[in-house]
Amino acid sequence: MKILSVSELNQYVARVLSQDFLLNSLRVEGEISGGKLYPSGHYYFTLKDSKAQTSCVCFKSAMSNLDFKPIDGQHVIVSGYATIYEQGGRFQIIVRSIERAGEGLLYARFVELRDRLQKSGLFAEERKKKIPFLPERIGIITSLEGAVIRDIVHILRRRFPGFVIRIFPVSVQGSSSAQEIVTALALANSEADCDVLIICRGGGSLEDLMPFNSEEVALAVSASEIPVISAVGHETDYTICDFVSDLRAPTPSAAAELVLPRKSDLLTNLDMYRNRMKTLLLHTFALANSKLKHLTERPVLRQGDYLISSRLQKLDILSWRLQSSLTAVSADQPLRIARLKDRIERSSLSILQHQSVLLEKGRNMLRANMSHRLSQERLGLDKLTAKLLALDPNAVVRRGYARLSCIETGKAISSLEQLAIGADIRIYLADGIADARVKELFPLELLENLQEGSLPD
Amino acid sequence: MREREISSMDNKETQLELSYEAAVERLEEIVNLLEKGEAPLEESLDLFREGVTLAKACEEKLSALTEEISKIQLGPEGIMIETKVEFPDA
Repeated sequence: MKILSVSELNQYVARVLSQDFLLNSLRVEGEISGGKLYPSGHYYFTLKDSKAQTSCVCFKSAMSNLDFKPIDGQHVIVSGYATIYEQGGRFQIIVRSIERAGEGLLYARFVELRDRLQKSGLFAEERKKKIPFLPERIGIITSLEGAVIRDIVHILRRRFPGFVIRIFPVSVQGSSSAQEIVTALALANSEADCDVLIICRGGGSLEDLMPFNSEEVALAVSASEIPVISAVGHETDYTICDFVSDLRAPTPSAAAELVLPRKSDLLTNLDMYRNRMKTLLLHTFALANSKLKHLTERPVLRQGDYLISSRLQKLDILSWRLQSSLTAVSADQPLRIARLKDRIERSSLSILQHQSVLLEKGRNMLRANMSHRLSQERLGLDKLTAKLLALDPNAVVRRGYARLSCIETGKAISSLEQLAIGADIRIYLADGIADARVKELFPLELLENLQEGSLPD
Repeated sequence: MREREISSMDNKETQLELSYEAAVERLEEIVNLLEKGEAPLEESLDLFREGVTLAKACEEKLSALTEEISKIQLGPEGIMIETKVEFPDA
């Protein structure tokens, strides 16, 4: 057997490796460890899985093409070729490019689960529950750490002072996250009294968002009796949790704006309703008032009950005044006579005659005074009576109007509503009565709409 | 889900118990009815009274609310524990 030098061995291995089809164009998946970037720009690292490891080197030119900075612990797929470092006799992979292994795989898993759940109808629009307009208690499933919950509290304070939120603290990434979210959902549904739930976390890599793309979380969200708003990641991130939730908010901040209206808007709206109602009511009354005025201004009505009753009232007042002044006069009279008598009795006989004359004069004056006053009052009363007579329905009848009554009931007729076609009515005229039958009824509105002259005979 | 209840003291016959949303819907309806102007005066006045009472109840409900932030966790024996959480404004 030929004895080889070390150099010959390493050269030979290098040649064998380079001739192997597979080793010439490799894709190897593993985790980066012991990565070191040299000042030269070359990146040396070890790629490992749970059982083995191999050396890798990524030269500066290849490094500059990477769209991320590789770090230890990162799961990657390296592409390149296998060779041996001849001086060191070390097997290694010369890396042409590195991609993040999780991404593609996770994305494939995400797509598979999304399509499967979609087929099972979990995202169906008709399954979505209505988000309450004004939830009294808001449950928030998220991490207590970080900016997300602080932003939500800040936005709620600004929009709706006086909100009530219950936070269900969970880790929003890592291996226990999905289970914690499932537990929180169950707790919120069974114990805590919430009207709506928000599941949220800030932006992150696809790997970070994994819990929100898990089947267990998807099923727990769909099983929730409380409506769920999902707000996971950035606006461009879509998770399974978003699809299955009742409402997707693009960001946690947006969820805070969706879950409660602006309180000032609600108060403004209430004011608007109040003002609108007030305006409309005033308008309604003004309209009714002008209608009434319009009605009372009709000539027929002007001579009607209203005026009669107001005249009657005037007459009442006048006759009362008449009565009381009459009483005063007659009550006064005996007193005056008694005084006079008294004076006469106390006066001497010599002036008795004089007094008698005076008495007679006084009596006459009294009598004249009284009869004057009485006749004046009578004159006033006569005038009033004449006026009243003019308002007497029969007086009106004498002026050419007719009074109607229903023959059957004997009641006076003042409205079409008391009449029907074919009704028997009695017409009172100045010189007698005529009985008639109603042929046709023409309500006022109808008459107003008709052109003059087109009125039926 | 519980409904936010608003009772109208004015309308003793019906004793309206509505959610905020339903109350606002009724307000809208009342405005529409008044707008049509078909209701008799008495009825319009009743509608107006009902609307004003509803608006007042809604407003009172809004202003009565106070901020409450708590966290809810499961205790060691599976018992729900509610703890107040402070969020000082930044």
